[in-house]
Order: sequence, then structure tokens, then C-alpha cells
Amino acid sequence: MINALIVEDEFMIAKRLTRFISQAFGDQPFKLTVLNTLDDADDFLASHTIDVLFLDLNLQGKDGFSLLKEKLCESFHTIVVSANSDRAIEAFDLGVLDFVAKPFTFERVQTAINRLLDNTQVGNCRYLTYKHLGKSELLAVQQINYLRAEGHYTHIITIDNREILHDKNLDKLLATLPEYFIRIHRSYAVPLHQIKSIETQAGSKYWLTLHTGDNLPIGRTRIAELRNKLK
Amino acid sequence: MRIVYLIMICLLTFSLHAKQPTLIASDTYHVINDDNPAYAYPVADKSQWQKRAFNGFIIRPDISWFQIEYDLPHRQNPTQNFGVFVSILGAFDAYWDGQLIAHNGVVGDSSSTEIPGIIDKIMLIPPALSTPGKHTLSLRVSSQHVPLGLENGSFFSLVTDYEQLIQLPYKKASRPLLMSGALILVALYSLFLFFTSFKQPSYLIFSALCLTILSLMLAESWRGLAPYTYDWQIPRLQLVLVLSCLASLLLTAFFGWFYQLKQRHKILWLLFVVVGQLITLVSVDGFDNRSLIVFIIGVGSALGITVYATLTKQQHAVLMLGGLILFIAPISINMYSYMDQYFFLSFSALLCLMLYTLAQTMNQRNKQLIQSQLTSNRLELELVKRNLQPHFILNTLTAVEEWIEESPATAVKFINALADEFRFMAATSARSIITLKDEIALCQSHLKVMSYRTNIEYSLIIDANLQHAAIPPGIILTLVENAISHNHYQHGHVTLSLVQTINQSQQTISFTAPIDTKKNTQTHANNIHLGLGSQYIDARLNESFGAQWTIESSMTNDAWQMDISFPLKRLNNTLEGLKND
Repeated sequence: MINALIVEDEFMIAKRLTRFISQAFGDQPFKLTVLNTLDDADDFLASHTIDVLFLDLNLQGKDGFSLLKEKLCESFHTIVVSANSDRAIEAFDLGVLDFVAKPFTFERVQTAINRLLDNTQVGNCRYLTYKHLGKSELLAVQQINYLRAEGHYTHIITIDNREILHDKNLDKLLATLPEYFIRIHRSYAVPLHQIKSIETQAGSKYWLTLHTGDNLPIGRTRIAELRNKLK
Repeated sequence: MRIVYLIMICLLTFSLHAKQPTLIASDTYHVINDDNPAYAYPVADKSQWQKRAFNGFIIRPDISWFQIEYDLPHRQNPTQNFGVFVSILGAFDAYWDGQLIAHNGVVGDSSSTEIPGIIDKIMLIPPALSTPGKHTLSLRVSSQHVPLGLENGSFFSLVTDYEQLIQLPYKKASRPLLMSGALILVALYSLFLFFTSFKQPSYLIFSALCLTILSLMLAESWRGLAPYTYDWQIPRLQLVLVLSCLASLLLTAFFGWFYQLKQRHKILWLLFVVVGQLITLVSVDGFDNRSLIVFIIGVGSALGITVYATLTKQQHAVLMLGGLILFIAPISINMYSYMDQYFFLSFSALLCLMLYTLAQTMNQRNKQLIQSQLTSNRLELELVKRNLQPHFILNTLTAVEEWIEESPATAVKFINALADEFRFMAATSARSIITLKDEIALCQSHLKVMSYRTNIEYSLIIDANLQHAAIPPGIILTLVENAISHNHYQHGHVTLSLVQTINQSQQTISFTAPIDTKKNTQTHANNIHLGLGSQYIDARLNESFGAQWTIESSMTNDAWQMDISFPLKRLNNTLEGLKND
């Protein structure tokens, strides 16, 4: 069951989006809520968990980017639906799953929904947006040493050995991170350029050493793909 | 500012340092009321004669003889000639030591036999009779052409270098005449400014003041420039007196209006000057005295007004006070030659100041004009832009796409409504003022578009009797847009209302919109602070009504009201027929 929320103040556009999204989900069970203000959306999110947010960046003439940064720290994916297509790159940099420019067709909405359903790695975010002391902050992707899953959350370990807790799970984070981020274990993901060496131990156990000296386990099922990527 | 003073001081010092010729005059003269040809010669025994000081003479109906003694010095060089200058209210024959030197008109015992002589007569003293020592000038005088009832006539005589004497009238007139060109220019310029750009009465008054001063100057210089017969002397002095009264009154009026005193104060100052002038006219003798005193009354009141303005810290007051003091300063040098000579020059001090303040005002006006043009263009752009933003257009296109796919008929209706709004927008935005009727039509067309877009039925209830009243475009529209965007109306039917109240020359437009009571307090605050919309409304009202408008915002639990008051004007051209129904 996928919980989706649309925040759109234009009645006709919300109607159109609802129609296309419902159609795109197809057989997938889903629940769709439409709200027209961010205040209403915040109220709703306080008591509901969602998987994806469809967000208009220009609600009542407010600049949507500060709001977008806040939403990107959350556990759910954000798909921007906006007329401001000139800011799409900026939105991708910040880690949106997709950016649908208005006016839009059904096919474009379908692509976005597919990305969501497959958790396809789109691979263009340059920053991770995270919450620190109640404020949303940006972390450059190059700063990431490795990622460690922690239940519904993810620990981000930086090159300078800081540890940041992110509200998105590892799957969702990887969906927005560039392709050179590789899942090496059920609980670990690393950027390829951080890998120094791979060691085999007795009992078909594999270990990976990073440039920073950290050692991480490699999942047995993932070693082949990793070796392939490193070639 | 300092340079203005400097120029004025230079002008004044220049005028004060002009070279004066050596004058030979007598303190007294003798007169006898008896026509005897022997009196052409110096009379030794003047026991029958009356001795008088040089303060005029008693006018007789018949012929009198005057004798004046001069003590001639040595000539400075052999070619130097002496001349005698006589100014008397009468025709005369002049004799120097018994020798006839000139006829001035024809002396007669009745007005039919007398031909008036010129008022200022310059005569050459025969070189043979210019030896150092005592000499006698005899005048056979008749004054048949003076106005009835005049008892005293002016009389003045002196001897000096002949060359200098004939140049004297031109020298005296040249300084005031220097001013005449400037006066005409400034008078016309002020008049032109009054009728074309600055409708302030002070410019009109200043123009009149310049013209009066010019006339006064011509009346004064007339004597030196174009010799006239003595019977014109009294009318000329009367003219000078009248012009002095007028100039004094205008000077007071000018300062009153320049500082924009209260109506009551202006009238009091003018009354003070008029009463002062009347008292002077009745109680003082002599034209020159009266002219001077009435004028000083005017200058005094101008000074009074300026001191008051300085104390109340009005713009330019200190500068004007300085100018006025320079203007009056020469009076202390020589009261009588002031009117004759220095006055016209020191009036230039006032002219300079006036031009200076004018230049400043023009500068300010220009800045305001450019500002208002910029504002006007910016406002037009802003109004149009709001409906042509990419965001607006792309959202609209998205909505149209949806209608095309789901309800093509609605798509067509919506496009028509949008076209109406654009038409109204294009027709109104370029104007700075439109009729209330057009503004309402603009709002209605916007609400129709919004009804389609939001699926809320908006209506605007109008209570306005005078729909031809003028209003800047987009003001009510801005209120409508703000009400819709800040309230997030969500369902059904929203009724906005517009009430026009007319109170004499003032109209109040009251706009009321319901408040979405579900919303939090932040939304309420937004209603009061209209943000950019408010700036647009302020700028448009400023553009059309200056400071003569007010705007008030009030809020109850379920409604928000804006009251905009501004002067009531009617417009006749509306934009009928734009609507495509």
C-alpha cells in the first residue's frame, strides 16, 4: 500500500494530477490525499506516514525551495510538480526523486511513478538534505564516506568522520544518490571512489577497506556485482 | 547658496563705488514776485526779495524772478566748461550774470501764452563768464501748467563740469536699465511657469511684482532718458507713487504666498500694508517721501513675514531673510538716493534668490516627475505582469489541458473568460485613471476566471451609484486578488462586496471579503499586510491623488474590510464593448 500526498492549490491541476497518478499506479494498491496548502500538509504529516509527496513549488506565490529543503529531510520521497522548470536542476541537486514540469502529460507522470515504484537510482543529487537541530542543512555528496542502515533511518559517515542520522531509509537515499554509490551489504553502501581494497577471509567472508581505513563487510550476494563495477 | 550672496554683495559694492562729479551748489536762492527785465542782472540790494532754502518754491499765478549765486572754482584745464543744471516746475528764461543763456519753453502769464519747458534743463555757461569767483544765475519763471491747487513746486539747481552734467542722466539711468532686461525675462518666465507647470499663486505674484518694479523703474528713469516738459512731472510722480504702493503690496503678497501662510495671516499682513499706505498718503507731504515710506512699509512687512517663516523653520526662509536684508541695506546709506538708484540693484538680490529657489523647486519637481513616470511605467508593468507570469500561464495551460481532455466545452468557456480579462487588462493598465465601472468589470472578469480555476463560485456584490467616478486601475482588483490568495477559500460560494460612499467631494470605496475562519492567526496577519499589493495600491493612489487619500483596514471575526477614500472625480470615457459576451 503506497500512501501519496498531493499539495497543489490549483483545483484543476490537482484534479489532473490525481487522475494521472491513479492511472499510473495501476494495480498497485495506493491511498491518495489532496491538500491545497502547506499548512494543511504539515497538519496531515504530523499524524500520517506517507511514501511520496507531490509538491507544487509555487504555493500562493511563496518560494517553494525553503519548503522543499525541509521536505527532503523527511523519510518520504518528494516529486516536484511545478511550472518553474528552470529550477529543476537545483531541485535534483537537493535530492528530489523527480521533477515534473507543468503542463504535464500522463506519460510524464507515469515515468515519475515508475521511478518511485522501482526505486530506480536516478543519480543526480549533489547534496543530501538533512535535519540538524531542527534546521534543514545540506551535505555535499562528495563528503560521504559510507552509509549504514539503521532500521528506518540511515547513518551517513562523512570523510571527516562525522556521523549524520538521516530520516530516509537506505533504499530511498540510494534512489536519489548518484550511480557510483554501491550497495555492498544489506546495511552498507559506499561510493566507488572511496574503496581502497577488497579482502577475502576464510569461510567466504569478504571485507572492504576504505581510503579512510574503515573496514566494512561485503554481502555474499553482492561481491560479484561489486567486482564487476570496480573493473 | 554662498555664491548667491557673493554675487549680490559684488553687485552692491560696484554700485556704491561709482565716481561722483564735484558739484557746486548754493544753499539758498532769492525770489521776487515781480516781472522786471532788470532782474536778469545781479541785483545787489535784495531787500525786496525773499530768501529761501532749496526745498521747492511757492507757485504763483504770474511771473517770478529767481536769483542764485554760485562761487566758481578755478578751471581744472583751459578746455573745461561749466554747465548749470536747473530743474523747476515751470518754464523759464535763464541769464548768467545778465547774459541770456537759454530759453526753456516760453514764459507766459497765462496757460495759453506759456509753453512748458523741459523738467531738467542743462545749460552751458559761457566760457568768458566762468571766471573764478561769484556769479549769478537769474531765472524768469512762470508755472501756468501745474495742476490746480498745487502750492509747492520742486526747484533744484547746481553747477558742475558741463561734460559730466550732460552724461549724468544717462549714468543715473544706466544702472536701473541694466535690470530692465532681467526683469522682463523673469516676469515672463514666472508668468509662463505659473500657467504651464507651477500653479502656485506666488509665481503669478512674482511676475506682477517684476512688471511693477519694471514700470517703476521706467517711470523713474524716464526723467533722465527722455526729457519731458514740466507739466508731466506731477503725473509722473503720481504714477511713481501708485506703482510704489502696488510694489509694496505685491512684495507682501509674494512673501505671504511664497511661504504659504494661512489665509487669515495673509489677509492680516496685506491689511496692515494697505492701512499703513493710506495713513502715509494722507499724513505725509511730498511725492518722493510718500513713495519711499509706502515702499518701506511693504519691505517691512515682507521682512516680518520672512522672520516669521524663519522662526517656523520654513524652507528657504533663512536664505530669503539674508536676501531681504541685502535688499534693504542700502537704505541706511542714503534714504533718498535709494529709490532712485540702489533699489533697482538690490532688487536684483531678490531676483537672484527667487531664481535660486525656483531652480531648486524645478529640480525637485523634475525628480518627482521622473519618479512618477518611472512609477507609472512600473505600475503598468506590475499589473500586466501579475497575469502574464510564466507560473500563471503554465498553470493555466495545465488547467486548459485538463478541460480539453475531460470537458472541452468548459475549456472554451474558460478561454473566453480569460480573453475577457486580458482585454480589460490591456485596456486599463496603460491608463493612470479609469472609471469605477471599468474597474468593476475588470474585477468581474478576474473572478470569472478564478471561479473556473478554483471551482469556487465567486461573486462581487456592487453598491455604487456613481460608476463614472474615477479610480486608478487595478486597485480593487488587487484587493480581490489578495482576498482570494490569502484566504484559501475552499468550497462552494464566496461573496465579496464593494460599497461606494460619496461624501461631497470625497468618495470611499469599501471592499469586504469573508475570512476563512478555519485558518490560523498567521493568515489574519497576512490580510492586513498586503505586501506588494499594498505597495501597488499606495503607488497608484499617490500618482493620482498626491496626499489626498487614506486607506484603512479593519477585521471582524468573519470578514476583512478595506476602506479607501480619495477625491471624487468623474470620467466620461469608459471602455464599453470590450466584453465578448
